[in-house]
Amino acid sequence: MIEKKICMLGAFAVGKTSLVRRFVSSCFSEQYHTTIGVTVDKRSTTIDGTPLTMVLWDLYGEDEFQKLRASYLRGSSGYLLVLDGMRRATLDIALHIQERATDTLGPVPFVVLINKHDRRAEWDITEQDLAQLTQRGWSFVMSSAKTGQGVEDAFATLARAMLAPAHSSPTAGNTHGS
Amino acid sequence: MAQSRNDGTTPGEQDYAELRSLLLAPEQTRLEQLREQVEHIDLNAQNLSRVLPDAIALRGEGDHQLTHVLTPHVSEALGTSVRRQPHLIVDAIAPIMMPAIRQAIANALRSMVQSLNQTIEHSLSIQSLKWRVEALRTGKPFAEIVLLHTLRYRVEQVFLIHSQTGLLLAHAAGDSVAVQDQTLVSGMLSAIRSFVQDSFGAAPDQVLNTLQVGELTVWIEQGPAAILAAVIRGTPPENLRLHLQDILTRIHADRSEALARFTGDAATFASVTPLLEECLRAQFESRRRGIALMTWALMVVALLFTAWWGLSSYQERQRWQTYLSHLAAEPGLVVTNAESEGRRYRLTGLRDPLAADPAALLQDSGMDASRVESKWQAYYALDPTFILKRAGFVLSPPQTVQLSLEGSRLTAGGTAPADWIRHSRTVARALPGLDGYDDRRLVSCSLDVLRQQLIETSILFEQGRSNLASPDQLQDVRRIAELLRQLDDMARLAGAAVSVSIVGQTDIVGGPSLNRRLSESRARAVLDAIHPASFQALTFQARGMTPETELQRATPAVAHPQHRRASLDVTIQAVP
Repeated sequence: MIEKKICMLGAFAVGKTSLVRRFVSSCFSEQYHTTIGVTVDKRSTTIDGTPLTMVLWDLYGEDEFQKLRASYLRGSSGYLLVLDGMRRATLDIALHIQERATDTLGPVPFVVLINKHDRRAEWDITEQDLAQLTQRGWSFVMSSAKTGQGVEDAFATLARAMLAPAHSSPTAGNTHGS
Repeated sequence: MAQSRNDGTTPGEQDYAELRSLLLAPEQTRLEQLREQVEHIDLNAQNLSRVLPDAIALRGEGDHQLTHVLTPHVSEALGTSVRRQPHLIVDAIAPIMMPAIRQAIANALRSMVQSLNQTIEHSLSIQSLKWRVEALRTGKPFAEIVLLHTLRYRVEQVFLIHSQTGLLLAHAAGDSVAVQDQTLVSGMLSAIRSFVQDSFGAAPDQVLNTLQVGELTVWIEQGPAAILAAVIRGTPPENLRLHLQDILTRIHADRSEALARFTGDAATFASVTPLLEECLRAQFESRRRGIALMTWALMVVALLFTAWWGLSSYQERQRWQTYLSHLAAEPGLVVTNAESEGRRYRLTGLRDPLAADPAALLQDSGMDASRVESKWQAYYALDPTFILKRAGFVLSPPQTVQLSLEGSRLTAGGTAPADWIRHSRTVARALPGLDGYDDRRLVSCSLDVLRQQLIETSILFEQGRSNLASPDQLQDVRRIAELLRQLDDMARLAGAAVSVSIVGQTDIVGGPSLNRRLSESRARAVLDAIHPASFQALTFQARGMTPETELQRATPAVAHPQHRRASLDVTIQAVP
């Protein structure tokens, strides 16, 4: 069994913990719990015939008070970068976090999730922003922890990229949704 | 062949060359190759690489020049390497240095740990009492309480975790230990370490190495590429940490390549599980030892007390027996009853007043006088020593008297005044233990002494005179009268007949008849002066003695004044 460390990164309250719960336990709660420090969870799965355990480090969301610390990131084989579609500011934070992660981890695979797709009508992130992401060469997944949309795909995409012999690209996955 | 002939060689020579070619062709080819190498020797890198190791070895055997030449370059290269990639050196020497450092520290701490252990052991006896109280309070059997408390420590789980990723490399757990998801636990342990270090701004080399939750302790040992976390119940000894460090060092030494290239496949570390299982130690407090300490202490105290009590009783008993034997050996003391009750002693007996003091003997024996109750009744001891001692004490004889005991008769010898002799006769009869009192020798001797004194006495007269008028003559008369009084007294005590003859004498001057009258006159004058009638036991006679018959031959023709005298002659006749 191969194990890989995966970090959940993103601004605060974008839904990182909810995505992990959805992925690990297939459940969702409307109640918001802020993560202090880090919570570790795991899920074992099989990717293209290869058994894999994903150890998920659900890090606290970054804001103006809490900055991402490199010590949590270290050793990650990949990460999920989560945005809140309803808050435009989380995009800028995600850009910043991605730079920090690259500095610490080097070119490891990552997948961008634009979360809360179940409330697509209230989104603040525009098509233009999405186009900008595409322009950066990033692939992103429209996800909803509430409905489970895109969650399995996002993790599977990241897992495949991590298990690939060499990481040719800093990003992985395809655009889903919309 | 045609070509050979064109060269001008004979057919025989050609045959010979052909034969030689057939026989020695390989050697010739080899010779040609060697000649080629010798003639075209070229020190290129390829050739040099072949001979370089041998050349260095050969050169190094000769002297130390090679070392001198290479040392500065090697040192510089090593220094540069350390500066550029310090972690390589750290990783390389850590497995070697760590055991040595730990050994040194362990030696330094050993004495301190020993004293600490002693302190802990001493506290166990009190703890044991507490456990008994706890057993009474909770209603649980004491053995169960002891079991709960005497688990000193047990390593329940050991995690080998990859430092960089926090992923689990290997895991071992003891029997009947509830095991949580090891992957999550190892991840959270790594996360907590990072969290603590980041949150409190610790230096990179200051890592979280101990977690404490109730009875559980997690010891975390940090290695270059992996950490070893041991979950321990109870209080582990410090040497367990050394053991964990040793195991971690061995894993690093054995699996350094696998650790460096770890990509998430923990199966490659299955072989280290036995090493982790070595860490699953448990130690129980020795219950017997804990209780034995107290028991031993009590037993020792009890033994010491018993020994002290026994020894003290034995010694006191010995002193009592010694005291009794001294009393028995002492004349004049008779123990009639001796008994003891515990450490109280009672004694009754008889004591001659002249015997030794029992209280002084008791003090000499070393007995505690307050424990001994004595009752002594007075009595007369009748053994010869005491009879004689008592006679001496009662009679108080003058120094001229010697008392002795012949059988049961008291005998007195020497000389003594008549008054004392008379008194002793009265008192001696009353002395217990005597069958009689014999003072005949004493009386006889005393009479002889008085007789001798009287014989040696004389009164001198003026020439031609017979009267006693001068003070010296009167003094002599008084002295003679006193001696006669004593003689009279003594003669009555002795029952002896004593006759005293007073002899008057003259010198040669004068005629015999005159001298005869003068001598008789002098004898009578003395007789008259002593009042003979007052001495009832004495008979007197006075006579004169002429010098012609007795004295003239001795001192012829000399008129000596000492011849003008009166002297006494005493004759004692014992009455049957």
